[in-house]
Amino acid sequence: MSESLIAITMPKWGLAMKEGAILQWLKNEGDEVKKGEILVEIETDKVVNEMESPEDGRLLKKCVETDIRVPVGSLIAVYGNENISDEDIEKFISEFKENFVVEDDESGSEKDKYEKITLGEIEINFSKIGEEKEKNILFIHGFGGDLNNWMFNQEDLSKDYNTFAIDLPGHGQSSKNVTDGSLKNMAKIVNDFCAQNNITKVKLVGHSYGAGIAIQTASDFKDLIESLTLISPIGLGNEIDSSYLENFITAESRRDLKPVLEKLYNNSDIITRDMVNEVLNYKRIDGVESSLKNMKDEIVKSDLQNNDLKDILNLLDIPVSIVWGKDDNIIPSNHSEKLNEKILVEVIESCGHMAHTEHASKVNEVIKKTN
Amino acid sequence: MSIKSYKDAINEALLQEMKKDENVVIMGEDVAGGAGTNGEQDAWGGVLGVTKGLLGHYGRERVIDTPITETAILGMASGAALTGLRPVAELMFVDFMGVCFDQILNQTAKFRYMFGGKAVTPVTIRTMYGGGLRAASQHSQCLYPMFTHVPGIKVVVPSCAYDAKGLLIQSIRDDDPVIYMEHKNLYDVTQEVPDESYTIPFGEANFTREGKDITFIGMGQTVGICNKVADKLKSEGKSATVLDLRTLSPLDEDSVLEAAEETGRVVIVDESYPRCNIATDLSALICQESFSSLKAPIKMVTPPHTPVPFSPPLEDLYLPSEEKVYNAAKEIL
Amino acid sequence: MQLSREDLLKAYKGMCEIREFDDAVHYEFAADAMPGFVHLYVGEEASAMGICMHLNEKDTIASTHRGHGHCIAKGCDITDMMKELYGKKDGICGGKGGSMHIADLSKGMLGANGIVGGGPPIVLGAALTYKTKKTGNVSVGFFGDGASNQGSISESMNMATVLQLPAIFVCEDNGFAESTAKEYAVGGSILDRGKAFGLDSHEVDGNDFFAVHEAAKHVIDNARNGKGPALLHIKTSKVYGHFEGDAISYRTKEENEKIKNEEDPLKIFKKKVTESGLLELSQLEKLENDAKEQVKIAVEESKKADFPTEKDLLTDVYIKY
Repeated sequence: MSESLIAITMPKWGLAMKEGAILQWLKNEGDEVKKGEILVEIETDKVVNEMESPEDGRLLKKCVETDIRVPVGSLIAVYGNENISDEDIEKFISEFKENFVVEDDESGSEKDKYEKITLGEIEINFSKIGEEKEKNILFIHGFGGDLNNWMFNQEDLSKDYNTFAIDLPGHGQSSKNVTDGSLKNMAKIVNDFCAQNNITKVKLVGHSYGAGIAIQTASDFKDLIESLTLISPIGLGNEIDSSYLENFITAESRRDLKPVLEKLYNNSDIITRDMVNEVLNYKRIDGVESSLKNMKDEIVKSDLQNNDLKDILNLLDIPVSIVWGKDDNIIPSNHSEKLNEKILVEVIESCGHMAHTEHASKVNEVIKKTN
Repeated sequence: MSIKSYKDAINEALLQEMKKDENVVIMGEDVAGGAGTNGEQDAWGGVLGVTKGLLGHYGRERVIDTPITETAILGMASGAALTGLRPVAELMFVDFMGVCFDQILNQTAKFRYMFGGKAVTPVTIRTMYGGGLRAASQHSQCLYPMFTHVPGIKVVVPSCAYDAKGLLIQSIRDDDPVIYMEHKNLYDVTQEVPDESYTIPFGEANFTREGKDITFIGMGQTVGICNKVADKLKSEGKSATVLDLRTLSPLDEDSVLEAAEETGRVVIVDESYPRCNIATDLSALICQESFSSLKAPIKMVTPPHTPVPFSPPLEDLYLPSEEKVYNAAKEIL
Repeated sequence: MQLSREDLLKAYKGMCEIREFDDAVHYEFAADAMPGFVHLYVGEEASAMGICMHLNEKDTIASTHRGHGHCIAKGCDITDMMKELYGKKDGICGGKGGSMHIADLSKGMLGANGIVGGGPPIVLGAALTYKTKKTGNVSVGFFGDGASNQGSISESMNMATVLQLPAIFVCEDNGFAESTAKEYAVGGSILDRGKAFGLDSHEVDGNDFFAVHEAAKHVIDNARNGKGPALLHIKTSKVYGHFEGDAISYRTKEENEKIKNEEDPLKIFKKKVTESGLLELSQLEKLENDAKEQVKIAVEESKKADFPTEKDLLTDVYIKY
């Protein structure tokens, strides 16, 4: 009987996540739930976000109360068809619990979950999830971000791909000594990174400035790149909210930084004090400010975009997809218009500059489709 | 990032700042240890080993063992700061301030003002404070209110390893005099701490928990107590905000009021003597500025107005504890 | 040691300026034109000048609450000092320090000090800076016979020896700590205390500029050359009381007369240089008149100057807060 039951478990969003708590159920027991519909709202140490239903099915039983923290992988709900008896459900739950082992992660340090490689003067921090798969994905975050921006994407896609996410120089836990923020220079770093990791073919996924780097990499190292998925990329039009970049660099307090980060999202409620603090902590590391300034100077000039990548992109002979939040406040989504018609464009409603976090499963679908 | 103790975080901050700026020198009693002996050099590295290893990197020219002479240590540090060095002086226990307070009260803290804004005195005074080690009345005091009372000096009380490093680097780079207070019970508390140098600005309190039902305000060692009580209440279905003041002067008044207004129920946990301490000061601030948002009287968990006792059961009774903080919370929840 | 004519003129000029400055303060204070407490240096001028003539602008001194003389000898501006005494906004410390806290860091003057024995610990730090950075500079800490009994002085002398700092301690012994005689308050000898801490210690007649100048040269040269700290015990006298308004009833009339007539360092200097033909009397009188005129202008300007206003109340506490 229990084969017809489906276990819904606490997701793992990012390498550091160990446990989460359900803040709110958006479905009731008995509801039919479609894959991709919002099932619950989950709070981790770092974020509050909505969890989409991973499967179609009927929500038979909620297994966790709200506001209680449970380890990643814990059973939070059971799906199945309406004919299943309460006894069988209970049996399923107790069997799950008997077999459930909390991921032994007491090695403690976050350091152990990341790897570092040295490319000349710089050290690049990255995470690798998924092994022995046929294909590779490399995620490149945007200005001021880090590899954790892909927490809703990397884990999910690692079921089908070897996934790599890097901290760009000047970001995350990579060296903070960027003197040359040019796309050319960054593209070379991406290429060197792949070479050192024996990656000969890779699907690049880039966001914003990282998407610009992805385009440049595809142009400069044609044999390496299999496809591109670009989220709100730079370089496809003139307009950009340069005050975002400026204020991101200069904000010194939570009060100053919060409204800056809120610009990134359509639903700005997502910005918690913890998220603002994490960005502030990052910005306060020696070398970050000057690195960010150097990158900003590469991205904007006189309040307009400094790079025109449209021609390069149109000429690429690989599959390319573009995802853009319709309500992107940083780079307008109409930059996705009038491109080579082979390029797949997906503009998402009620979505800002961070489509990969705000509408993660849609973005993940696009990445998979970009072949 | 790696796991570091509070003690290691302090050591790393000193190591990195001494590397970055050759004007940074450290001085104090036994900061290296073994000076003038036939035995081991760097014998102590501070009485609890916090400065261990610095001598090997920077030598006795920059890691200066002094005689037991607190007035001369602090005077020398501020004089050196006035003339171009960026010294970090160690006052082994804050209790010893009794023999050298003039150097802070009348000298260092007032130079800038008395000299019409022309003096720059970038001195950091590191000192150890707090109870719990059965060190009795002259080695256990929590004297930060004595310093918050004095205009011209900044008062820093890190509660965790991350803050310990960032706040010490900020203290050293800051051009004003700073007293940086290390709770001796926190030295072995560990946390993820970046390997790079980073700063935490002064006057920015940190929310370590966010909740809706009650607000705890702590500083230094008491933040950990507040966090534990907040977690316990959470398992009972009550959510708590915890605010770590991080620096007592400057004081992040905005965050104090924000934290108080968020829940309307406030417990302030302060290990210092109860008359004119940080708890009374915050309490007055909240009453003056946010009275209408209060749903219950403000509770203050502090020691009684006695010296710190020696006998272990007495000291346990004396200090703020999880139990006392929990009980105070329950009274107003 | 033979001093050049220029040096002699410079020495007398400085002593005259100190004398005229504090004489003017004496009269102005008595006329109720000046706020606060003032402690005058008249009678001790040879000490400040004899020592500070060996110092350059990068060398530093820390002074006492009887500090006007040290400030002038170290090059502080007389008008700015006078404005400070009147509590004016353009005073040398913006009117925030007053007589007891005159400082000018750009001139190497680390502050007069309202705390007895407050200066020498600061001097240790300046000397540590010079030792660490190998600049060849020295720092001089003045204190009185009263301060010699403070722990800060003993601690400073010991530390200076332990770390072999280029620090000079100058005890200006005018015989009285406030109204209490040194004979009552100082156990043993100040000179012996310096020797006991391992300092190169010398006793000097503080009414004789030449004696001070020579002793100071010896110890300052040594300190510059890494030969460690020293103590000068300078015996001198103060003409006026501990503070202005002090009736000096603890001294007899005869003692006061003797100080004025027989122990005045300016008179002694003048006699020596004119009798030996080193300088003409007219040269000296010109310096006296110049100083008088300069101080007169300083007083006039100070009286006219503006007080600080409410917007100055909250400034200068921290660099950033």
